[in-house]
Amino acid sequence: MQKSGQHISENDLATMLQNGDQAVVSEIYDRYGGVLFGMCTKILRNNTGLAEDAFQESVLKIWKYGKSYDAKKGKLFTWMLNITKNTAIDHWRKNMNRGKIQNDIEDVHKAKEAYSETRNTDTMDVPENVESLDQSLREVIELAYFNGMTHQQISGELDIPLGTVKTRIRNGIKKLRTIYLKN
Amino acid sequence: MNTKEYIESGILEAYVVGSVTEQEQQEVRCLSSIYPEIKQALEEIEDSMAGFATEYSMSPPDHLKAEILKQVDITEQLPAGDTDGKSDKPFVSAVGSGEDKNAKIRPIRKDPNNFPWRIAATVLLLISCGLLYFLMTMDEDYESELTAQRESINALENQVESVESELQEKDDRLALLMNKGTDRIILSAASEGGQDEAIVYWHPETEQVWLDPDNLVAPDNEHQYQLWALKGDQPIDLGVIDKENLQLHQMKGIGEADAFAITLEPVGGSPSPTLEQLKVIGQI
Repeated sequence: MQKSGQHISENDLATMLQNGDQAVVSEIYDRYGGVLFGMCTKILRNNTGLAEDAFQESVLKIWKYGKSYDAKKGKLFTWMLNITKNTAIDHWRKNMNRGKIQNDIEDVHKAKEAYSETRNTDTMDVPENVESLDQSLREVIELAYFNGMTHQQISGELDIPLGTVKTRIRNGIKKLRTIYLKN
Repeated sequence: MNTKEYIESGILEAYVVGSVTEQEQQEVRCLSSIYPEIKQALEEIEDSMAGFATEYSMSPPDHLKAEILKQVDITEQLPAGDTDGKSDKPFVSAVGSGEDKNAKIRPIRKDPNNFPWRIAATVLLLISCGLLYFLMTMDEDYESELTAQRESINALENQVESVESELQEKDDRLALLMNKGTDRIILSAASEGGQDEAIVYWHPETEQVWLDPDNLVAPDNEHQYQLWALKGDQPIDLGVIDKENLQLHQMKGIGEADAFAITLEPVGGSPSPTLEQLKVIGQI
């Protein structure tokens, strides 16, 4: 089932994956590689070597567990993002335990700056108004989503009340819904 | 269960970003499988977060694609259902370490010791799901019962209030009627053989006038009874009688009078009595 050169829907990709069609990996790589690699880089605080390892393992996992993907449980893209996120956070924790990297909040900020410089919007349909999410909301969502931190940990890390953390996450995602779901 | 409140509580957002407890994760999974509206809200949040993730896109190094495709070529896909059970959830998986570059992931299924635990975990999950559903439903029942009780109490309170004010009114009337200074004047039919009758209770000192029109024939829709005090030859208007309420009620006050009379007048009353329509009269 070779479909290169023409638009393949997400459903078709899922079918290819479930049918064991290796061509799907190339398609996934071309279409979603940027987001998945960006996520690994973000979670691994711009450590390129670790990000490459996590990204590679994530794509292989997507292929390996592809037959188990169940469209009823959610979209393929969400499923791939979750696999990648989990794999990258696993890498982060293991390496942190070994002392190879430090869980320093500064890394997050550094990564944030790096993100602004290197963000590549070619691979996905990124709306132009991405920056409309306030920095205070973005920061909290990043810590929870990319760093796997609990509300309590974020509260301690940023020295803001627990209630504020919850409200910011909720308001931030509400804002994201208005940005991404209206399209 | 009030799914709207649940959706608006913020727990779904917390679930998607991964900052909920294990117990809350199970709760969200259970409820989203039971209530389609929760599932839909959850998917919308997931889509939003997927959009958020795209903001961080970065092109991977060129050499990686070839390496990955080479590994795919030598990596067998696992049969459907053969996963770590967590890889499609928005949470950190215990499987898949940084060392495992070649994705040589040993499926848990191959470890016979894990098998009973999986069954037990599934059973536990189902039981907790059922229990949660039961508790939520029970909670809802209590809530609606509580609301019904509150409404009933409110209705009773209103009733008590109205009875109290009615009682107070009756007390006031009784006090007036029992008062030694109150005159009781019977107004008898003005026409010969007429059956109409009314009673005026008058307290000249306080100038209070009460009328009991109980024995007056109910007027038609275009007429109303009107009470007059006669002082010398001068009739003084003491108000019309609501035909829907032919019971004892207070009229305009007067301190001096020689007689009281009631005439039948057009609705709204007249400035001076229509003598042809004089129904009852009583001298003091």
